[in-house]
Amino acid sequence: MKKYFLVWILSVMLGSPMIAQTGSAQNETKDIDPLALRVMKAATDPVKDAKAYSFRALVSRDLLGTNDQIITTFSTSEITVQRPNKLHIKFRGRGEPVEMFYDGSGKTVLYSPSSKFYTTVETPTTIDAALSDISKKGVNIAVRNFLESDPYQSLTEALTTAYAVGSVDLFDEKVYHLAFTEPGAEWQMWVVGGDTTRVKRLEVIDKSNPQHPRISVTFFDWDLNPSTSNDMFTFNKPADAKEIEMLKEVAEKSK
Amino acid sequence: MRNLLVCFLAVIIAIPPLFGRVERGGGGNRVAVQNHNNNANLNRNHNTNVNRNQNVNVNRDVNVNRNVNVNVNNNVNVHGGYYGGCCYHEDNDWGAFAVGAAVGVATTAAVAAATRPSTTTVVTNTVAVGSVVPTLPGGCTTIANGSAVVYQCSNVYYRPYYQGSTLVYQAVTYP
Repeated sequence: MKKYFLVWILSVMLGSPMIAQTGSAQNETKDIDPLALRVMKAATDPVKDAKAYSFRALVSRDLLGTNDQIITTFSTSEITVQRPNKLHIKFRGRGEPVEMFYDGSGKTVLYSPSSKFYTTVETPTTIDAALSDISKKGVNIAVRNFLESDPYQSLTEALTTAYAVGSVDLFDEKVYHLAFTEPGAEWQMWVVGGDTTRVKRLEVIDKSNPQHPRISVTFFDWDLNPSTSNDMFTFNKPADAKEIEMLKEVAEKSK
Repeated sequence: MRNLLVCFLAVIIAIPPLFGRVERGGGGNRVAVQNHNNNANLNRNHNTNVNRNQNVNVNRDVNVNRNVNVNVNNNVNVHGGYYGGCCYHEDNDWGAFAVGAAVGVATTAAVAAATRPSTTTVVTNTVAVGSVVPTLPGGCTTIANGSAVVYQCSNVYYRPYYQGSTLVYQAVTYP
């Protein structure tokens, strides 16, 4: 009996890709420069501590073509967060502008004002959990880490390495350049220093994919004291608005 | 035996995170990339209209007046799309390259092209069911299908969906 159990244990361990990947992850030596973390914390803690904040993000995202080629897409997002659990985003990319409403009441709504279509996704009552849930529906927000309750915690909890590259010019602006790795990804951050330390740019390379697609985000117009009202986070359905489905759900149903 | 089980569980628990926490996107669906020359949905019309007036007036001083007017229309209509893909092959947002838009002016090359025999190909628009586009083509009408919204655009039917945070229209079979 013991013999069979031992064989089973070994077969599970040897046959598990999880273990195999873990082995390679363990080979990466942790090397964390505290300076890099201090700079990141200085840039992200004000966001965590703000009762409300807003910013704009210009996002370029690599997708993979059916021939494995990188296809780059572009979009902008206008984001307003009210702690602890309210979020509003205006997406502008391909097609019509789309607004996302999340008021902590247990649902997230996507709405297209031009065509008056909307869809509702049942989500938990915290922003962190809601963002996790909607990402499973295909709504991937490039600045997600900056919307969670503790951006610093979110960005650092899986780090393998962290380095402070140096002070550099980012399009004529002095910034601090930081570089990080974590399992499956490497990323860089550029932070504007001074009295209002803010994240200016983020680049993430997905190393878990052989094509190494990249997400680049440029941050604009950080406002840690914007005027907000509860109305802007709640979807007030126009009488003639029509509910539609998520394509991903339809595709999964048809499988 | 119990020690072995405890040891095994300890190994599992000690496993570091397999994936990081920085947002990397879903990476699920792929964008359709294909050579549209080999695509059954490729519709291409080349209409070449050449108006040429050549008036030659000859007098004693030998004056030559020559007017060459060339109108060249190259109409390219490319349909694409990808079921579950990321909708980068819409056929209605190609600006100057779209159907009916004039491309080119009376350059030397255009003149040379205009002198070649013209060909006209008449094809039928087809859109693969399942194709996803971010905007509807023009001239669509809404048809009732219970509570669902369906658009009829020529002979193609579309239903609106959200693909991530993007509103898209998927070509569907007749409802």
